[in-house]
Amino acid sequence: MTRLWSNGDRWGIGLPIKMNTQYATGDDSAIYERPSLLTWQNQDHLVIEITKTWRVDIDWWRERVWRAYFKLQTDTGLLVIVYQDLLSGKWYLQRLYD
Amino acid sequence: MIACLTVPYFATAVERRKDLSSVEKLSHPGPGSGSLPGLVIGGQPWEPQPLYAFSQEVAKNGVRPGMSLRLAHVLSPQAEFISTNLPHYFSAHGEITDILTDFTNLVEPQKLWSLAEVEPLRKAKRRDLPAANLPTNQPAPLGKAFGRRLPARYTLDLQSLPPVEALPLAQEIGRSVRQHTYLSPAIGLATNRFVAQMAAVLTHPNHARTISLEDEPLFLSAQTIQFLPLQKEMDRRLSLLGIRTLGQFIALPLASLHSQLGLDRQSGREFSQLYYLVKERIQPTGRIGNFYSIHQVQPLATEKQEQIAYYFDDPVNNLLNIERILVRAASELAARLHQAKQETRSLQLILEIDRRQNDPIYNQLSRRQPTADPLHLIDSLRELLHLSWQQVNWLYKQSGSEPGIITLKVILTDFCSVAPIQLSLFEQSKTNAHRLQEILSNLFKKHGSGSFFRPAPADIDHPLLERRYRLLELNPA
Repeated sequence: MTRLWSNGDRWGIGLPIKMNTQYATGDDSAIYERPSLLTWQNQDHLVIEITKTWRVDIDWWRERVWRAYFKLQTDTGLLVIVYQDLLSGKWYLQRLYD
Repeated sequence: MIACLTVPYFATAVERRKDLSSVEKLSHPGPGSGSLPGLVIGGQPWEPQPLYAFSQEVAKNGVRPGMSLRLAHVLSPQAEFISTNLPHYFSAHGEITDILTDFTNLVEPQKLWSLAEVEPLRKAKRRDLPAANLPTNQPAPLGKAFGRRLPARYTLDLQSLPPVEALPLAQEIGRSVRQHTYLSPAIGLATNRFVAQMAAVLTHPNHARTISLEDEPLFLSAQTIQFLPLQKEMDRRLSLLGIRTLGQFIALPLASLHSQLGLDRQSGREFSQLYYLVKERIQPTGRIGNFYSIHQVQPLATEKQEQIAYYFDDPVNNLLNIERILVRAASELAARLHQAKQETRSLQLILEIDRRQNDPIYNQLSRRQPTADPLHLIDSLRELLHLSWQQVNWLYKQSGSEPGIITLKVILTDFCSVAPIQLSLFEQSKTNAHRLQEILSNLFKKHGSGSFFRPAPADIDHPLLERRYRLLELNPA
């Protein structure tokens, strides 16, 4: 069983991962940072499609949570939801569809 | 940790289960327990054959494995002598294996016949065993001391479970076996199977004993060399040299042991392996790898089978009648397969003929396509019958008498599902729920609290995925 939450963290903010990014132009002609290569458990997964993106910015009055979410498909057959914590710049793997 | 569960004097314990009063005496030994009469299995005292098993009371009188029934009677005249009931012992052996697999799939039941591993078992008995029941794993050779109490032995791999948690689990396993089978197991726990098996042998029934890694050298060095699979001559020479314990054994230099024992190249190599095996456990150097006795416990692969057997009082010698019986057997087996939504690929036909000195006639057929159709089964069984019948006729031509079948057995194996079936996760039948609860509670005991959680919806529309669900800790109660 692969737990996607770390020990002691019941809320499961996800597993920290290494992500290579590249810049791309969005629909609104602005330039955004997009994931291109995901490294998880020392294995590289090339991103072949980003099926959905969305952003969350909540709790700014308490402890701000500001994230950019990506639903990705990789060349190794994974369908995952990853996000970048825009405050720290770190990437996390949140969901793995099987 | 490796756990080794043994049931000492297994065959006699199984025989005594029938009599509940003796079960009580065995389970709660007290002042009255000494009055239990001895029991010898294998036949009557006048029969010219070795005994099969015996009880503890008889062992105290000097009866040993492989002894003749006549001699056992001389040594223990008060003992009760009964004939061997192999299917009964196999069934009890299977019951224990089933219970153990509730705890882990890494269970290695040792061949039941290793209860006579010290002395060769007579060939006739080996032939009587149904082939399908014989486990395929080959355990490492064991010394004489392991077989003295004629135990049934099971090795379990508790993986990375620390000793503190392994002991309660072992006790729970012991309780479970006792509760379900009315047998009294002894359990040994250690970091490797050699020491675990030794600990089990030296433990009283209904008790568990742990040998931690730190205690291992002290424990091993005090044990007798009879735990090593030594050849008779080697054993004799070592005892002449005054070497009784494993500690004394490894204190001697290997080269001098070689010259004293006059070993040839092959036996010298085996002896060196043994020597280093023990030496590494008592005086760890880290240079020698784990030898054969510490090999991994293999997961238990149980093969499902459906079988039907007919026993005839008078030998049947009419081929048409046998065919009719096979047709009935095929229909019944097909019905069972339909009910289980399974198909079979392999059919076995076993015919036992009335001349007992011959082996049963055994033929197997593997189908290209799996089937559960009674007509297909009948065709395959007819094919097997004609093949077997030729062998029966050939056998009887030798003796010049009429052939006669006393037992007919059909076994189906190698099953596959008729169609992919969704796992019945939501099936609410009472028996399954009870079984599931039992397995879950065993898992809880093994892994402890804080290991199992159930997701529960919290705020299903929350923008942060991790806050849509909460993980609630499962409570074994």
